[in-house]
Amino acid sequence: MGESYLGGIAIQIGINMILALSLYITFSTGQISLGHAGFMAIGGYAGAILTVQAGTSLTFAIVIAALLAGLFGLLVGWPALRLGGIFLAIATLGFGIIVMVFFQNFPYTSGSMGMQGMVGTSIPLVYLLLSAIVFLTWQLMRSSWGRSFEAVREDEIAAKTMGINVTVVKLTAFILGASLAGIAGALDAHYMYYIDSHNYTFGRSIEILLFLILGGSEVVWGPLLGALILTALPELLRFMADYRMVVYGLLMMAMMIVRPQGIIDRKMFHKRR
Amino acid sequence: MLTFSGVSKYFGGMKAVSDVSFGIEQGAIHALIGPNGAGKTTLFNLATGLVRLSGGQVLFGEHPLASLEPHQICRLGIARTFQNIRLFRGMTAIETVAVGTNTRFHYDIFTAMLALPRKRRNEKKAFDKAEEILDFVGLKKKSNYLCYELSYGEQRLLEIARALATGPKLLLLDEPTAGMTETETENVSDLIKSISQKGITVFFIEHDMRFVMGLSSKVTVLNFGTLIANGPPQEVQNNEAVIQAYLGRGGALNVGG
Repeated sequence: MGESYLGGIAIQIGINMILALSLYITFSTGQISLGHAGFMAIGGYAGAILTVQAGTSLTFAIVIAALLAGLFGLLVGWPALRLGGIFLAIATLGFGIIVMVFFQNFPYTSGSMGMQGMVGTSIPLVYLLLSAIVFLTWQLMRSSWGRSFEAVREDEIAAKTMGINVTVVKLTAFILGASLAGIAGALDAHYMYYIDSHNYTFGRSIEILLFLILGGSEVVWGPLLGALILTALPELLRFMADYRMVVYGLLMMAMMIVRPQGIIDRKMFHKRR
Repeated sequence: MLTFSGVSKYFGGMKAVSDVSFGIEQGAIHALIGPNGAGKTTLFNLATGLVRLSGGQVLFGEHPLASLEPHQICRLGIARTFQNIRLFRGMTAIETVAVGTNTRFHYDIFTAMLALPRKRRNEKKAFDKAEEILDFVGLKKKSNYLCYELSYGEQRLLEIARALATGPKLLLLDEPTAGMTETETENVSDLIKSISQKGITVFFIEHDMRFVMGLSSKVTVLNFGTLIANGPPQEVQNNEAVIQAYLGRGGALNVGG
């Protein structure tokens, strides 16, 4: 609130970029989560309760949102360790639905009436956090940890026998991803002024996945670009009114055929000999 | 150094390995041979923790391996390669080998994310080590190639390099020359000798008999999951049970008869 139309879009882009990175980290170990809207909801509601009802600062609320979402990441990630591929996707989808239904009915957060009064998310705050998160994620992926993540994604058996503790790697990535989604959730809630459980549907989780699919999920810049395009595109296509989502759909279909790895891939950064 | 005692593995009702006992001595170049489906790779999988024992015990030095996870076994000093090459698609050769050095040059995740000096030091060590090992297996020039840009033979060498990077005491090679040309096979033979000279014990599965007989100090033969011979190459070569397993009953004896 209080931002101009363009300022609002800039904030949405920033928040969606954080969400894209949150899924990117989880996905870099080969784990597909369709429950990221759930972690976002936990961060959003936790932040809202802290600032509106407990009167804390937004900064403090964001830290707690990250920790709490991370804790839920651990709770979901631990049993999910045995699952891979589509099975993990469905399990996390179930988690997302549980969280949504919980907040729909939880009286303390006014159930389906929603919560209101959250303010404070500004362009500087979002982009400061985003910059920090981009730097940390980038450095993470350019380290032995990042290589372990990638090794686990590409071949879990080979990774294990090379001394990589797959449990630690997968859980770490899941918790980090959940925490970032929690941060994005808190920022989002304090930008929207009002939230209810419908902000955190399954569709939201899919949207985050689409950032990775469009932009690419091999290097950190892919998800960022995906979030930028898919957040700005519906706004740019406003003149098409109700048909604008058709373009969105066509774009996804075209991508799958032409460039299934996403716009940005690893090869673009690969040193030629 | 590695001892199998009464080792059995059943997959459902199928006996993959049953009651196998033998040992690999430190410093040996020990071959494991046998017809397809004899249970050779299963023994490797048991020794690296990828499958669980149905019975018996595998000891690495004094350590029973039964309850350990694969990554723990690797850290104890056993590394391996795979029959069907398992590389990390999308990584370069040097990055792949650097993965193997992870356990040696470990640093925590905060050091990684905050790009602290300790990270830079350890990364340099990891990549220097990786380069040294690539040079050792003869792939230094291919450091920056992506794994899948390498030839089949080079991919096998890269797997060996990655395994060496973990700093093993015992190296398990599952058909290291499969699909290789004759020259490449000779190179692998030399490579295994130099690995052995570094004090690393080598245990390998192989079908190429000339390769096995020329290289190994000891040969173990499996057939239908049971051990049928274990000893020096010449002895095994003349073992009746081995000849039968490979050529069928009476096969060799009828030649020229």
